[in-house]
Amino acid sequence: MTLPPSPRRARAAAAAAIGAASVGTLALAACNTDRVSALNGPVLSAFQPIASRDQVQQLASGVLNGDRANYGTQLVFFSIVGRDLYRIDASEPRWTTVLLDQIIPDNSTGFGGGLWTTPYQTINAGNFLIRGSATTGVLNAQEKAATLGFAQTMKALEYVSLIRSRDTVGIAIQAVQDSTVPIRCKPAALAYISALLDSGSTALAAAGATPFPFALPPGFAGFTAPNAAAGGTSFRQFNRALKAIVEMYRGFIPLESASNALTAPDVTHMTAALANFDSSFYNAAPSAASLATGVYYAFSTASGETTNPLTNPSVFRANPKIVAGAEPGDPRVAAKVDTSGAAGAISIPAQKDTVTSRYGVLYPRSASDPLALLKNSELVLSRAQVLWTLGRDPEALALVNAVRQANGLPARSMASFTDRVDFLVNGILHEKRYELLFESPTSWVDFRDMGILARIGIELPNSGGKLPFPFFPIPNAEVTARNGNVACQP
Amino acid sequence: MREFRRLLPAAAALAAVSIVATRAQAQRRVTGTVTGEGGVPLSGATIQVVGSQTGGYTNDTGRFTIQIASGAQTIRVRRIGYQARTVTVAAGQTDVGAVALARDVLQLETQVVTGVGTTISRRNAANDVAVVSAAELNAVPQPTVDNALQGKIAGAVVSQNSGAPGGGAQFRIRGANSILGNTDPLLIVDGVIISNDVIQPGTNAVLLASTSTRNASNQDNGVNRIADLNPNDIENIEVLKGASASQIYGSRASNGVIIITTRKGQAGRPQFNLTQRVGGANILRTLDERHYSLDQAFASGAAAGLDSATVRANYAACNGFCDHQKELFDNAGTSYETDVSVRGGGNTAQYYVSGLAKRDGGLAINTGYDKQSLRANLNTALSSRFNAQISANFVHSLAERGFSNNDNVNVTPYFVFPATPSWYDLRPTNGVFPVNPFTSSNPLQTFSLSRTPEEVWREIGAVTADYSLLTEDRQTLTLRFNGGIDFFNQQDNLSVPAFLQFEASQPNPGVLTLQSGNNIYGNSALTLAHTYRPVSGTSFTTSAGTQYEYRSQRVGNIVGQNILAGQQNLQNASTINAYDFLLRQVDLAFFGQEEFLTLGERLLLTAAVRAQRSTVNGDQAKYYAFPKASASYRIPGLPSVINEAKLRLAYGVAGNPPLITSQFTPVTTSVYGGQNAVIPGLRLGAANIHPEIQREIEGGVDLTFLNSRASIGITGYNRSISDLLLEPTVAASRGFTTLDINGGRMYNRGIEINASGTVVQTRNVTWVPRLVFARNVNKVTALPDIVGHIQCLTPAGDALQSDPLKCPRGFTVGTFGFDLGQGRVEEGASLTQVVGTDTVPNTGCGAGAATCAKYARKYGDTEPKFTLGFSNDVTVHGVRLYALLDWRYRFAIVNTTQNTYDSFGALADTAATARRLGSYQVSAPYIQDGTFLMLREVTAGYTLPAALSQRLLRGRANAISVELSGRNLALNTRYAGLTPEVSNFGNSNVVRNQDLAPFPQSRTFFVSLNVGF
Repeated sequence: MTLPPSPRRARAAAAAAIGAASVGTLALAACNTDRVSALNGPVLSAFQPIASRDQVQQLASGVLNGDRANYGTQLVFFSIVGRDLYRIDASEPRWTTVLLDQIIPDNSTGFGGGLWTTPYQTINAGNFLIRGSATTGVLNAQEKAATLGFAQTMKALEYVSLIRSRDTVGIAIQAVQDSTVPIRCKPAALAYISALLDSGSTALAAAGATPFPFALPPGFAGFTAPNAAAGGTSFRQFNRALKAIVEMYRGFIPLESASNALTAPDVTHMTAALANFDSSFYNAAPSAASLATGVYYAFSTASGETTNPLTNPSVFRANPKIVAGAEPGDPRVAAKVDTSGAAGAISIPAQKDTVTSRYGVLYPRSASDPLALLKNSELVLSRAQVLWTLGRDPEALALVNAVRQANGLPARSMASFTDRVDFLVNGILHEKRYELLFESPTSWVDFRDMGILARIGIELPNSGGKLPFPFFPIPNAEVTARNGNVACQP
Repeated sequence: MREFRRLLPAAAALAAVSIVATRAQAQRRVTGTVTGEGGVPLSGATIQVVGSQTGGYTNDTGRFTIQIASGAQTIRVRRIGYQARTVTVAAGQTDVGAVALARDVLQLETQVVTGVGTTISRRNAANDVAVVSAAELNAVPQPTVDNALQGKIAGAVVSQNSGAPGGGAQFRIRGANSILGNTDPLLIVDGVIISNDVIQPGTNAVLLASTSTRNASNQDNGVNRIADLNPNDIENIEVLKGASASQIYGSRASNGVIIITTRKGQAGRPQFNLTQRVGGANILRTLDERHYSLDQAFASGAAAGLDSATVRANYAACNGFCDHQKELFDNAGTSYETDVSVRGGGNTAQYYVSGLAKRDGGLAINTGYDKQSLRANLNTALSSRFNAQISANFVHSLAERGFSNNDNVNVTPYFVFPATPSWYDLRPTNGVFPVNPFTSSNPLQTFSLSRTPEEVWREIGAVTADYSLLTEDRQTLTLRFNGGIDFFNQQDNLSVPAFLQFEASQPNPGVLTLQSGNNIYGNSALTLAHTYRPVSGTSFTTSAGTQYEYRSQRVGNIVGQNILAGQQNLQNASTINAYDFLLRQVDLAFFGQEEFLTLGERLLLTAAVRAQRSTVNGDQAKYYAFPKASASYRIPGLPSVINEAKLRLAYGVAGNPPLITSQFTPVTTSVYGGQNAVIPGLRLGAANIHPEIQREIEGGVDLTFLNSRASIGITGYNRSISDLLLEPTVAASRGFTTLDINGGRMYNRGIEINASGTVVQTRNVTWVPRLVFARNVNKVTALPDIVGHIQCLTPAGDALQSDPLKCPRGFTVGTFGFDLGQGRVEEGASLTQVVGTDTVPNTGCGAGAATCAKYARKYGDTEPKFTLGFSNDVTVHGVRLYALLDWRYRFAIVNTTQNTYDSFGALADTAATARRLGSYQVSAPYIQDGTFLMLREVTAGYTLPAALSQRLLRGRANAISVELSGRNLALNTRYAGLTPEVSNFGNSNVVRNQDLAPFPQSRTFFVSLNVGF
């Protein structure tokens, strides 16, 4: 096809050029459009990379707050299952129907699912802080080490919480956000936690005298330095105390069910536990003041802060077993339980029973009262458990009596116990329960781990009498996401 | 084929937008007249010399004068609503006489959209583009545009979400096309994308359907804002159903595109049209409530602590039965509508101006819908090269929709009625409403004393400007700018006085809200279109351009509580919660398209591609390509009974954009020890999130026969949707519970049939039946590995499968549990399935069985097995009768309202109640079939003979008609709820058709007078 030359053709070409130019101009203008960022709330990408020390602080506080949130849930659940507390709540009867029953809770209801989800969210936050702090330019090498040690210790604390609630079911360890890691059985999980704490301890030590590049909340007073000399208190001493508890868990072997005898104690782990108590803030010469030394959760009624989880007198009551089992004149009961009946009785039906209590919870007295995360009295009495396991009963009794005397109670003699198991249950664990009442609920875990859950006492007597269930199940969503494959691997 | 081969080099040459000049020729003047039925002159008809851009229009008297080249020529005469004709003008002929056009009942001549700047005659279209004309749209007075489309488009299921006045409907075009993404079609008016958003009205502040917040929730029965348009302004509506046609709109088009063209001016003297309508509404259905004997009344009264004297007094006042439903929902009052329009203009400018004022009475006390609308459309030829269309539309509406749907404080009427025995009198005495001792509220008090106004102010402006860069006999080059802005503000101001029965028991009684939402859409497109006609019957249309879209929304909601009754200022509330939501989205696209029409306009080949980027994608700068290719062929040499036969095939790709939040991982903030604390949230965003991809192939055949008086079109399609937007639940041990991903695949396959014809056409009688039929089948074929397996039965069907890997992947959607019925996205099942509880065979299930194993299985689909719309339009002399039937066959509704009634034993049929409750939680008796046949529209009208009209108004009027019409007049269904058109969760693909105390549906009727002068 030939194209005859024509003035029109030139004009048309010019017009086409104008058109194309206009299109191009519009396109260029549009290309300058800025990115649209998230408009309805802060997003994680603002912290990648960590651009300021403020952000380090915020992420560290996030990890601490995640731990505190989980602790609030754990405190209520464990206290109820461990026969310390009732939550009598008509709008949520499962606090009594499910938690006082012997049947492992139905995992499809989501009840108790937070005991799984929240610690893993905090572990993820810890991993994020570890990744971000390792590469950021706003921290020096010592500060990076301090941050790593802090994050690893906090992660270990979350894993401890998980293994406490899941026990033999196992938990996912080395959790990462990019894939689903296998569920590992309890021994492997505890070994991992132990190693994680060691790694954290090493990092904290590497920080030397450099302080954390962030402030810790008020409950960590005395433990705000990453590292301190032996016998002092620092975050590393807190790390060692956790390590001692974990080693103790590793050393627990359930007693023979018939004889309640201990066949062969796990000397290795129990010895390791003793060694770690010694490198922690454990204080062998307890006084009332030194018993209280430790790390606490702080609460506040200020805007945005969290209040003490037990501040709701309309639903919380002490389990009557606490009052019935108390030693006359035990000042800890008087301080924490209102036996006068002034709180008023509340009750709720559960199976063939009515769960009722008129014993109000006196502690916390205000919504900003702190709760112990880990204090010296728990270390002292845990050490007594370790010593008992190793057959060193007189040393254990000395520690029990030290706690008793610090609380104004008379010392007991070994002869006052009918046998070794009676000493364990009514000596060591009784003391531990009342010492840590409504603060660090350890009874359910201790009785279970030592294989004596049957001695903790039954609930719902008219419905057959129920012992506590031994563990919380893995939530249904997790089971589904794993295609049902949740049997733990050794 | 030979001809085709010869044209190939030409096609290649065109790819470079070749511009070909031809010789100028001598001109002559030709005149003629265009007439319609009965020789009536037609103004505004277009005359075009075939093979050129030369042409003109007819004037008031139907006459035209055009310049054409010497020698024998062919002219084409077109007018909207009429079949086009070509007329040969012999060499030397100067008067072609009267050209009579026949009515285009089948709409073969309608131009349908094929690109941002291009159209093609429907005769050649390669897609089944549904076109609804003004006449079909406004056969009866329509509350809102969404209503007007029900039963008229094959493949589009338009379902109201409730009967509340002011609109609110879901369009599902060719099935459910997304799980998490947008469910609504893109809405375009005169080339401008406008908002069809829903801003929920915030009744959750009162009803607490979502208990965790007082902010608006998706159970608030909101309205999608297509409702704002005035149906009377619409010339026609085209529906591009899927990717094969809607590809031209790219990543927001996978739910289909609704293209609305408003009326335009016509050259000629001003033509006024005035329509006045007056009507009313009543409740379509009520539930059959139980009647109590006096003894039964004593028993039920005693249970609520009423003494026998009180019971006796109430029973007497009600005469045994108070119809609570009608007491509240039989208060529609008068509806009216005044519609005025004028169109006219000269050769260089034509205008259309309209005004509307209407009120639709709401069934319930203090409910209703008022709307005023003004529109001005101006077409101007600014010069011989430059013309522009400018339109402006202003709308104000005020809807009061009361309280309906789910609630957690027992305020919604259909939660209160079942709890309140029918012998109890809720009516006020001396203005004082009795306390309802059976539950927490008296709906008569609630509706009489609280207000729920939702006020919308909206402005839509659009400009289309065409500049002709080149006009020659064989080719044209046009630059088109198209742009516009759509702005609306929606304010919801709920006021609920503190002294209402249910408020008094709240911790902070009295609610006052101020929710204000601003929504802005802006878009502009620049298109360069080149048409080249090397020989008669062949043309190349090349277009390319760019389109920019901007969208923003901000909704602030202040909820005040503990406020004295009557206070208007929120500062007087002692408890104030504030909520805020922001959205901004910017899209940029480039597109190119080639259309090749040849073989005497018999073969049309089209190829196009659009590249689009969007700020809602994880990679905001990346362009995603959406291609299209299609072909249509009008078969020549047909037997004489068949006038036209067209085969068509089209393929295209369109998208559905990610949620605005998908690309971001939120963090949760709190304070610990005075320090701000930040923790990664439980949802992991995706940096690579991108649009869902819909690939659609559509094929069909269109036949026209009986002297072009009847047509049938059959279309089959298969659309595959991949890269689904999902937020699956993941193992929480990863540190979060859900994440955003693209993955999985599903399909929609279906068939659509359109048939219509002028069965009878004589001088005085016409009868036009129309039928649309559609069937769609959806299946989720794959879900990504991250989605876990759900519980299922063994292959034998007698036990639960113990190996989860043998069960399909899937997850549930919905909040009310399997016992009632909820959604489940599952491999191998339809997306719209409703899943409920059933028993595992052979596990000892039966009455009182303690250890019965249950599982969840499919009970039905929210999507009908088929839909069928059938209308008949008969005119005998001046009398017109029209009726539209809307039939939806086999779809599931979750009747939670009935479950509530049953649990109170409040229905008349107590045996059926016992039967349902007996199987409840063992099976799912409340998942029910919603099959219905609705008499959607009925009109009986009379148009006065022209002579009479002229005489009556002394020559000033040329058309007078009167009309009696109604909507939703009769409903035939076995569904036992108030209406089978319900959706507690509004527009949603997976959790639809939840009947949860809805606002009942209205039957409406109008008397209309229409005068044209």
